[in-house]
Amino acid sequence: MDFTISKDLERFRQEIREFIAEAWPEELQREAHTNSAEQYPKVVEFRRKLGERGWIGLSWPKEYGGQGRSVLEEYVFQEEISYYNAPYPKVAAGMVAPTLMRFGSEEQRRRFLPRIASGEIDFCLGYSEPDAGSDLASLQIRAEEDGDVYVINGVKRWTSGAHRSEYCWLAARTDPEAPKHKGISLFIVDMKTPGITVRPIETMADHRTNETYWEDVRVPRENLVGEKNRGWYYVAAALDFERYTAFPVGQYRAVVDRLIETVKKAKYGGRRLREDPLIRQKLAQISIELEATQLLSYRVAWLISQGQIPNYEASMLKMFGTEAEQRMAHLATLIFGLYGQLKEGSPDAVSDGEFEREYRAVVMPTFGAGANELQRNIIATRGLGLPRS
Amino acid sequence: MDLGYTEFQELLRQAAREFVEREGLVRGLRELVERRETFDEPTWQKMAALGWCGLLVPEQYGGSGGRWADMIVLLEELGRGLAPQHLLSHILAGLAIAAYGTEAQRQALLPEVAHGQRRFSLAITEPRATLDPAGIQCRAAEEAGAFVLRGTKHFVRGGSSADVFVVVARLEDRPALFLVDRAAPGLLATPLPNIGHDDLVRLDLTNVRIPPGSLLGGETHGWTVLRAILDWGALLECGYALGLMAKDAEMTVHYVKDRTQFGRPIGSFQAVQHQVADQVTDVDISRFLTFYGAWALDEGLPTASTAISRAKAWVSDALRRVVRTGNQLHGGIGFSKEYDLHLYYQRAKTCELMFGTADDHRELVAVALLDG
Repeated sequence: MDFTISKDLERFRQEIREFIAEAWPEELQREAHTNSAEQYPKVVEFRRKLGERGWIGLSWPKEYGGQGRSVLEEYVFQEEISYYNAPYPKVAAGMVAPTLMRFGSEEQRRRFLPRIASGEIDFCLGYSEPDAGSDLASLQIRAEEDGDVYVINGVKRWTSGAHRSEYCWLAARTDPEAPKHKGISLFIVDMKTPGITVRPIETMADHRTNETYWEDVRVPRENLVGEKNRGWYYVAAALDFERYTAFPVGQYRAVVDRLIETVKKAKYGGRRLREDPLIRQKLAQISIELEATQLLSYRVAWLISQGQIPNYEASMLKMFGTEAEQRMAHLATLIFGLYGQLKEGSPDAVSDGEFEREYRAVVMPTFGAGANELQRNIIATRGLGLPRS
Repeated sequence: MDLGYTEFQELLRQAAREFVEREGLVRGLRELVERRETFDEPTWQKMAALGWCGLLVPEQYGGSGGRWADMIVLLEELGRGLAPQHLLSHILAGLAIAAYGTEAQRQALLPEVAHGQRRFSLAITEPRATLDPAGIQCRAAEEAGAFVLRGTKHFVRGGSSADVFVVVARLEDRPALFLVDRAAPGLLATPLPNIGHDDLVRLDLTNVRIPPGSLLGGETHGWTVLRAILDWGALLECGYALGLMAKDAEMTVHYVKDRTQFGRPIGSFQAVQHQVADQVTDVDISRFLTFYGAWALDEGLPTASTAISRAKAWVSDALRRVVRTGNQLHGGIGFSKEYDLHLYYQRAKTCELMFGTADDHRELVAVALLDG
C-alpha cells in the first residue's frame, strides 16, 4: 500500500487553498454553519467564482462542460472546500448533474448543466417527509399527471436550502398503486413556482432547515427526469455518485486542528492543560480516530479512481466518521472542563464557543444522510454477505 | 496513491496462507498447549526454509531485502494462523543487528538471522516495564577485558528457544546492545506462563561475562535506540494482530451465517449484524493504520514513529473489541476449548500489551501533538 500523494496533486491542493483564502475568508468560514438567508448572496458570489475557474464539475466529462479531471483531483478539491467550510453546490453538482448526464434528456442537460457549472444555480433536496425518513421509499407526496404538467401535492421535511436554492430535486409518487419502490418519479422544480411554501425549522445546531408545503404546484412535463416511476432507481444511483463525500473529513480535521492549537495554549489559573495526562490521552485518541477516518476516506476515493463502486466502504466511512466526530466533540468539551459549556459571546468561552457548538452539531450526522443503523446493516449484508433481516 | 498490493505481496500472502493451512499451525499451537511447551523445532525449520526470517534482511546478507509493507502482509498471514510469535523476536533482533552492528558483525550474524540457523531473541523490557530510559537499569561493566552484565530482563519473547539474546543494557550510562549466548554462565531463563501461550521468559543476569566482541557496533548509542526498537516491535505486533483480528472476525461472520435460532440464521438479526459491522470496521481501520505506519517507515518519514504509535494504540483497543465480539456471538461453542476461538481471544491480550499498550502509545502521540 502506497499513500504517496503526487506532487501535481499537492500543487493543486495548494492552488485551491490560496483561492479559498482570498474568496472565502475566515469571517465567512466561521458563519457558514448557519445556512442563513442573509449569507446567501455571499454564497452565490463564491459559487460563481468557483464556476469561473471551472471547479464545479471538475470531474465531469468535457462533453458536458466539465474539466474531465481525475477522481483524486475532485476528491482533494472537496477536502479543501470542506476544511474551510466553503460553499459548494453539492446537490446540484454532485447529484443532479451526474444523474442528468446518465438518465436525463439532452434538453435537460442543455438547460441545467451549464448553469450548474457556472455556479448560477443550486438545488435543495426534496426527499424526506414527516413520515418518510429512513424508509424513504414510503414517501407520500403526490405528482399527478394533468396534460402537459404534473401537479404536486404534499409535504416535505428537512428540505435544507429550500429558503435559498433556485431549484428543488424532488422525489414524488406518481403511482400509488404500484409497490412503493416502483411508483416514484424524480422532478426538477423551480422554487419560484406558485404553491410552494417554505417554513423555517431552527435546529439545535443553529442551522436552519425547512418544512416545505406543496399545494397544486404545476411542474412542466419536461422537468420529469428520466422515466416515470423509475425515480427510486435514480435516487439509488445518485447515492453512488457522491460516495466519497459521504463524510467530509476536511471539516472534521479543521475542528481537530483548532482543538489541538487551543489545548496547546490553554492555561487556567496557572494550570496548563497540555500537561494533564488524562487530557493528553483524550487528545491522542482524537488524533488517531481522525487519521483512521482520513484513511477510510482515501480508500473510497481510491476505489472510485480505479473504476470501482464502493458500497460497504462508503457506509463504513460515513458510520465511523460521524461517530468519531461525535466522540471528538464530547471529548473536546470535556477537556476544557467547566469552560467547555460556554457559548460564543460568553466571557472565557473557548475558541469563540466553537466546541460547544460542534457538540450540538454532531448530533445530526449519525442519523442524517443514511442513519448509522442502516449503514451497519449495509456493511453486514452487502459487505459481509449476512442474510437480510 | 495505490492502496492495492504488489505482485510480490500477493505471492507472499498466498504462500504464507497455504503454509499455515497445510501445516495446521493453529492445531500445532493446541498441541504445544497440551504438551505445555512453547517451541516446536520442525515448525521453525519450515518457516526458516520459506525465507521468512530474512524478509527484512538486506539481500547482501542473505535476506530478501523486503520492505515493511511486505512484512505486514506476511505478518497478517502469520497472525491469522496463530504462528509462533518468537519469530517476531528473532526478526526484531535481526533489525537491531542490522542497524547497530559493525559491518563485520552484520556479515557474520545477518545470514544466520536470515536462514534461521540460530535463533535470536531481543531482550529489552525490564521489571519496571516502561519504554523510557528509566526502564533500562540492566548494567554492563568492562572488567578484565570482558563485559559483565548484571540485571534482569523481563517478558523476553522467544527466551526458551533462543540461542542468542540481543540484550539492551547501560554501558557508562548510555544504551548499548550486547550479544549474549544462552549458555553464558550466570544467565538464567525462567519461563513465564501466560494467557497467549507465548514463549516468554524472565532473564536474570548474574555477573554474566561476555567477550568484548559482543558489543554491537563496538560502542554505545543514543537513547533513540529505544524508540527505534519500540517502533519496530510495535509495528511487527500490529501486523500479527491484524491477522489475528481478521481471522477472528471472519470466523464470526461464518458462524453467524450458519448458526440458526428462532428458525433463522442469527446473522439475520440486526443486533448481530451491527456487532459484525463494528468488527470489520475495527479490522479495516487496523489494516490501514498499520500499513500507513509501514509505508511511513519505508519512506523514512519523520512522522513514522507517531504513525506507528497511532497504529499500535488503535490496534491494541480494536483487538479487544473484535475478539470480545467474536466470543459473544459464538456463545457457548466459542467458550469451549474444543473450538479454536479461545486461542484468538487469549493471544489477542498478548498483542495488546506487547511493545506498548494503547495508553503508552497515546502518550507518545500526545508528545508529537503537544510538545513540539
